[in-house]
Amino acid sequence: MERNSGRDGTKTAPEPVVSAVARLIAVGTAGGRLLEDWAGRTGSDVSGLWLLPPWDTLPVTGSPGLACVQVRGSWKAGWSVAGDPDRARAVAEEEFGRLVDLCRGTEWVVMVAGLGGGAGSGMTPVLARAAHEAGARALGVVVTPFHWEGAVRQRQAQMALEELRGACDGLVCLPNQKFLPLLPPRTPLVEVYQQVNRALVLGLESFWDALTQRGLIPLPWEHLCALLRGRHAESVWVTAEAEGEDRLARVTARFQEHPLLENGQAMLAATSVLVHITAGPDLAAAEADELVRVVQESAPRAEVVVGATLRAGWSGRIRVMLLVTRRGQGRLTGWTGTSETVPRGRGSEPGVPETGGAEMACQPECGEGDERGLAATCGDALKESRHMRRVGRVRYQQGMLPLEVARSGRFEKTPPNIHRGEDLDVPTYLRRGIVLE
Amino acid sequence: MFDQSSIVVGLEIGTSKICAVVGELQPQGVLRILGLGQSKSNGVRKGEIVDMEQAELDIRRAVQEAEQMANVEVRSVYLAVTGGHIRGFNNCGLHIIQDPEVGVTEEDVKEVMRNARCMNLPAQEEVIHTVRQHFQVDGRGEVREPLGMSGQRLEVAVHVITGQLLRLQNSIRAVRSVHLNVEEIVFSGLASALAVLSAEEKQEGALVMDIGGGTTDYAVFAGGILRLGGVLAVGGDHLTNDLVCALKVSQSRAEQLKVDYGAAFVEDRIRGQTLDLTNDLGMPIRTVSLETLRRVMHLRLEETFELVRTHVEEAGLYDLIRAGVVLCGGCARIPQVTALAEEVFDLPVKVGRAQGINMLNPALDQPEFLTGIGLLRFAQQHRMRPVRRGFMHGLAERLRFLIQRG
Repeated sequence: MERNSGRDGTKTAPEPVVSAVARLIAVGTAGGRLLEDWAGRTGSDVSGLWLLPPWDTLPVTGSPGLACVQVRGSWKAGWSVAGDPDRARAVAEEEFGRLVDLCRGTEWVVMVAGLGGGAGSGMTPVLARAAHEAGARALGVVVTPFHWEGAVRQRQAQMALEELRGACDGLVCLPNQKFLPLLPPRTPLVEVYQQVNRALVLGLESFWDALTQRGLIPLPWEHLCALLRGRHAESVWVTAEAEGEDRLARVTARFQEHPLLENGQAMLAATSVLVHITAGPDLAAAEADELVRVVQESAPRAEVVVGATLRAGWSGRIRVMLLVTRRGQGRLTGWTGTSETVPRGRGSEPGVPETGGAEMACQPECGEGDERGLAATCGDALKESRHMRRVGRVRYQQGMLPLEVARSGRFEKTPPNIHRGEDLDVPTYLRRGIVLE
Repeated sequence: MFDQSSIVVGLEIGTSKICAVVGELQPQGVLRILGLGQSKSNGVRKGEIVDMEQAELDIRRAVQEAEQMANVEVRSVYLAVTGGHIRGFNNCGLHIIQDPEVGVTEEDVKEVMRNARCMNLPAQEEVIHTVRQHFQVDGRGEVREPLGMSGQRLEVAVHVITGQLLRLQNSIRAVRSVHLNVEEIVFSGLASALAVLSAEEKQEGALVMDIGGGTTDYAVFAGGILRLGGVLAVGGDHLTNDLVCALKVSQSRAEQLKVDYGAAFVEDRIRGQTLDLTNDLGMPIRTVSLETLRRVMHLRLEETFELVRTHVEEAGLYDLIRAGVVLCGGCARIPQVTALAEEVFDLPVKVGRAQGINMLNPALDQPEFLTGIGLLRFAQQHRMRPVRRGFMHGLAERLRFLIQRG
């Protein structure tokens, strides 16, 4: 099974072991940029690997703590195939053994990638499988392209996303387009990418904290993955940081207008919300209490999980990350339909980690098997469709349209039925994001 | 005058049907139903009239049928009103007792009630009912009957049910256009509660949910008085509409599927089952999943119950409901709906039956007709209440004012 990585294409040896628990691997250009930014921000204490396709030139100036790995395979096709996920996948499959080696010796592999291009879309799913092969679990953090990048990239991103859903243990998907309203309208294009990267890096930092810092209230990894897992699970994260007296108010205000949360609709439909607080030692109990209360109120049906890390130099500062997951299916089954409702009156006690214990126990086996099977079928379907594309029939296929919920048929001409921010005329299953078979 | 006769008529303009009930008030508080007329309602959405002409036709048809059955001529009706604009809230009134030596007089009670009804309503809102909860003399205790008690200050807590004037006037106008007088307007949730609750249940505390075609009207009784009233503009129509969306079938087909195969739960044994839809020649055209149908209904009903529970809990009344929940309206017929309500409310749930009524025909004892029957019950209480004449008179006057403006 295990092939030795005899082939050399490595500029720097992949020795920087980040932590025994988790390893960060960026895939493709976009992922690498993100990781470079991050390494630049945090200094050299954290580092990761940067996985590159053969047609990309290796960056001349290596960032501290960031090791570049280029997969080469028997690649001879030429530069013109850059941006083709199929080629990237083929190369990655060829070097599967090396990818397995990269993932060895850690429990979790966190993959950061931008979907839509060649390397990110093609290599990330293979890397996820390699991680499984190496006995690690795969957690994907991916961004999808802006609308202006064109329908082809959008479609490639969507297909890769489908594939990743089957291959990863957990998936966080951040649509770039949604960050756009955060920026002033006349922002230059170059700056848009930088700004979005900055927002992402901030999120990644918080997320990494949540994963690695065994802080005040540690988050169990298993629990985190149980939250992120599922075929229809869609997660986004948002971060907000503030300083000063009214830091909490500012943070909650930021969340309320955050485009990724769709004016609170995302929270309403959420099945679980992870709150991770990074703050100085002066974090007041009242603040944590208030924050969790606000979150629970805006996401009444969600299970709220809380983690916190304290940092010595952070007095007066707070950073909060919300990881919002909406799951289409899974726990909603027949007679136990209402068991999904929020346990009423749950406090914001720090004893939250144990809440998921019971359901955790029942999830892993069934989830794993299902998803492996799914990955296979999904892969077949994709091969089919790729074949079609080669023939050139799908070239003019329409890109993804944004999902517009049809407004309530029969009640179209009646006054709207708004109850606590929800339009009750819209079918319940649509509002709660439940996917029907 | 007709007012003085013992014949009363209740009219409910519902979203799925219009129902007129003729009853006779007999001595010892017995109510006898003489006739009932109904017609399909086509001009109403979510409890409010959207097509005036159609609604008039339907009202006329229903009233005619009731007249024929009861062999009376209907001239005035008690009209049930509903709609998402109706809401209930608590208010209180304060009055300084005129002569502390004599104690609380009837004048004082009248005055404090008048103060309680003076409230800062948004423009275009009108009071439908003012129900007094309890009195307090000098801020002490919960007094039922303050007459003769001595103190300085008399306070009263009331529950007020209000609706938007223009929307209420629509239904009043529709009734008047078929040459009927409106004697009183009654919140339909209150009417249903009066029909189904026994005196004991009212005392112990009960929640009545009338899930009709377009609205869910609910009312909480505790300690013998109405404590909370409210409307959610969600009903059987929404179930149908959800099915239209989920199964991609026509409105009428969805309605038929809901009636034939609907239930409040997704049982294990129906998983994977499908239903064949046939065209008018009986040829199968496509199949839909029974599980999907049930799940969509389950989610909508569960949500409706949860919303009501949240409202009741926020009003602080959940713990006062000891007799349980009573369901009525067309949706009370959905199989297993009581089990679902039991799960959500964590209280005993039953489907309502009319209380203390001499039925002309047992076939009329259906959950759909309870609002109409409750209107008769309201009329009965309304007419036989000489003690509180002052209060009721004021209310009647207010309503008459409202109706005449309409």
